[in-house]
Amino acid sequence: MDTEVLVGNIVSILVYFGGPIIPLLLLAILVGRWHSANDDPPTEAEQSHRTH
Amino acid sequence: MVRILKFIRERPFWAWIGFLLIVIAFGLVCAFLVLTRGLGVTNLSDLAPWGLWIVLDLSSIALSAGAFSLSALAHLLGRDDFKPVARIAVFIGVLGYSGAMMTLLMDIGRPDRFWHPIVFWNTHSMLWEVTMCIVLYFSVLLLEVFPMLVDLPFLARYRWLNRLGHQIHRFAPLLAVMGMGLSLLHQSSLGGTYGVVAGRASLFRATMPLLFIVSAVAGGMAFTVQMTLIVQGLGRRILVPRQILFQVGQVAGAILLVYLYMRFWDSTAGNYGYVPGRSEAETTLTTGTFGLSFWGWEIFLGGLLAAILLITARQRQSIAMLLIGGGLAMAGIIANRWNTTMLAFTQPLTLSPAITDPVTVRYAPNLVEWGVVLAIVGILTLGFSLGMHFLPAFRGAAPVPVPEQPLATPAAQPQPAGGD
Repeated sequence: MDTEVLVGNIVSILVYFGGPIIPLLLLAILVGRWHSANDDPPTEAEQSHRTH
Repeated sequence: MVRILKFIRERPFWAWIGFLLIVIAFGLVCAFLVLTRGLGVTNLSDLAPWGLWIVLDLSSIALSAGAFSLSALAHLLGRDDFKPVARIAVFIGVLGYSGAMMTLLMDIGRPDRFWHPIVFWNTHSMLWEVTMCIVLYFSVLLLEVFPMLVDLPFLARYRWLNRLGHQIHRFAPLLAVMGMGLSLLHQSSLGGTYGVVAGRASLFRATMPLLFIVSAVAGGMAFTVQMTLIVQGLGRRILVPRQILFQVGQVAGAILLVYLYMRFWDSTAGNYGYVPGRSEAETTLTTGTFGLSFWGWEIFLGGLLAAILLITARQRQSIAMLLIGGGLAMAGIIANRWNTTMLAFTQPLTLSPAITDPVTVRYAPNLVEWGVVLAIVGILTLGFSLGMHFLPAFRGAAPVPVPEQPLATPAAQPQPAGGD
């Protein structure tokens, strides 16, 4: 196979999969970091348990 | 330029809304072209009547399936802790079905006759059954969303509206039953619509309704989890406790595995013997031009990897894994609907030697079709963004900052017991 065609195919495959996956990974890192720095507020049951 | 960057930094939400409006404006020009000049401006033809728009229609309906499945879990199986996530799923459902109807309006070729199926009943048509179910289910979804809308501050002065909203909310379990019935009917009937097309060998099989409904439930749940996490992360508030999201993710992952199992048997046992047209289509799907999309997106990334991530995220307590799993499942569903629709055109309509032309067709959507898709997706994203920002039901709760872990000093480190 011609080198140019081979490189073209590899780049196409990388774009085909990487195009949607890279933004998804970036978003996951951003959202994941926020969630690891912030916890859920206590539920009503947890709050009443703490006060008693 | 500096001003624009400053605006984006200071008001990211409104910058996002502005970006969406630009996208929608471009798409509406394309929609105007279709509405004034007809389907001739698209690459759709008599040979390829179902294209990109039908893929969007099927995908948006599938990704809305979280509405009925999570509502059923919350209201019928007594999982009250699922109610916040079910509320988000219902809102996604309303938008998803609106998008599906907008797409169909563009696709039918005679948009002025969109109301015909409601008045002129063709009870022998699978498409008529789907249309009626979608219309009725959309009405159910509107009733479910209505109580959320009347809570808007500027509607507070209309007390009767507020009372009506709360009266409707009392019927949530009944609406959940109706929604489940209608959804089970039409989600599978969409597969059935394909399954009864005897002229398209790759579609003509009895398993299509089952494959459609099971994949939709998995994809719809996963998509709801994904969207909830994105809103929480970017909006900096908690809408649904993370343990609930992990649980929904696990259920979605498990259903995705069941779907893959069904798909495996459909492909293997269904092709045990030679079936004219279908066997060739299966070869095209697995080894031909669809191979990369099928194995890459539909089976590996959007199927197996998505299921593994969704299921194991809870054990590892990883939000990133949950979000990636949801995103991949969404991509897998879209790839599945694309492959299923497009594969049909790769095989001849007839094997009769007398009819040699036309046999197959090569279809690729043109710029006008992509523009309409951009407009519809833009409108749905705009509706979702505004809803999540302004509706009191999605105000959520302020998160609790996690205290930073102090760095361990050498003196505090445990000494190894014994040793020399």
